[in-house]
Amino acid sequence: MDEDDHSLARIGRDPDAFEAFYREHIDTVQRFVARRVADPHLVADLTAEVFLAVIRSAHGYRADRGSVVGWLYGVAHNVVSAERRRRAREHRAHERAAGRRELTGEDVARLEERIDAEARARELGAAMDRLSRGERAVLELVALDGLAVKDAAHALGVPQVTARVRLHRARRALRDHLSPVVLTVAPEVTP
Amino acid sequence: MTQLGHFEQNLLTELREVVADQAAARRPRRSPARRLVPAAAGAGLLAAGLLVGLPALDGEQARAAYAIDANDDGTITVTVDRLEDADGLERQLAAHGVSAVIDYVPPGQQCRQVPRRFEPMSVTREWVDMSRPDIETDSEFSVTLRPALFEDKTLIIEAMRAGDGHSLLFVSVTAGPVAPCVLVDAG
Repeated sequence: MDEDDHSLARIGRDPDAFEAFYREHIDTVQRFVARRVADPHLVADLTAEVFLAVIRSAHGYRADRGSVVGWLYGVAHNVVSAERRRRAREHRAHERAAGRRELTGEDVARLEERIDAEARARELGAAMDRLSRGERAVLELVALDGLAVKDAAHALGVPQVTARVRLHRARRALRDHLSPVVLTVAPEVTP
Repeated sequence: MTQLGHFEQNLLTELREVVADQAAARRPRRSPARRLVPAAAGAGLLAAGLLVGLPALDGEQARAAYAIDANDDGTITVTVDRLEDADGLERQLAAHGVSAVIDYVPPGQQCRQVPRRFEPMSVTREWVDMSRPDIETDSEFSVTLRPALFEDKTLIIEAMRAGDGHSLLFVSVTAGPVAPCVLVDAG
């Protein structure tokens, strides 16, 4: 087991190790969620759920399969995707709407600032509705989150070649529908 | 290092407690007092559903209702001790790359069978293994899954309490949509 495996495994059982990880990655996780969700309460809830999932699954991380950030994006992607599916099941929609976490006015303002900063990314996300789930997942991680294709593949647990093919298909499918601004974004992240 | 706001600081405090609780919960192993009693024979090929027994409640309310462990061979093992917090288990399975729809059905009821909620796939133990040795000898119910196979697929678990003190568990996999469980009286 190498050093990264060790430090990641510890965050599930050592509060100090977890705190160091949390402080290092809280911004990354909040931005990831804010690129996909525009409600501050839901951003707060999903941020919490991503870290809960991290705590429960950190022992399964293997450094030889990819970077910590790639792994973290994989966890965040799964949590946000599960939320999308849950919201699609209408009988669960109401319990989410109110938000469970206590937020002060200052918290809401901070989260809204973050949400506003990610507005363009969410527009791109909305344009992706026409893609298959697999294509969308790769394109989101690469074009919205700036991951290398290798890390996106790791985050999604698929071979790199699969991720590349899906990315290619996704770009082709979106080519006619993206605004010029977005079109300048996608090619820049081509590895 | 990030300057934390009120929400982020509170969340950190909360999560530190979760880590401490998890560390404490992992130390003692499960008691061997509870045994799984299969409710139906055969844990071989998984088709529309697979039926096993779950241990009944035994007062150990303090322990988590479920646990997920990642195995070295790329599989994960889901252990369900109590039929509670299906949403939490769905979220944790999602974090491991498995999309799941889990319904714990109240006593005397079941999910409506007609029309079908989903189109079941025929899958093997490579996908969902409920026959690992500890199932027959240990105290806990567990299912071992291979998340890599579940891309664009959904795992469906439907569990209900039977009159004999055990619970019945159906496990299926589908490549299509899953309709919500509509509760009807069992029998």
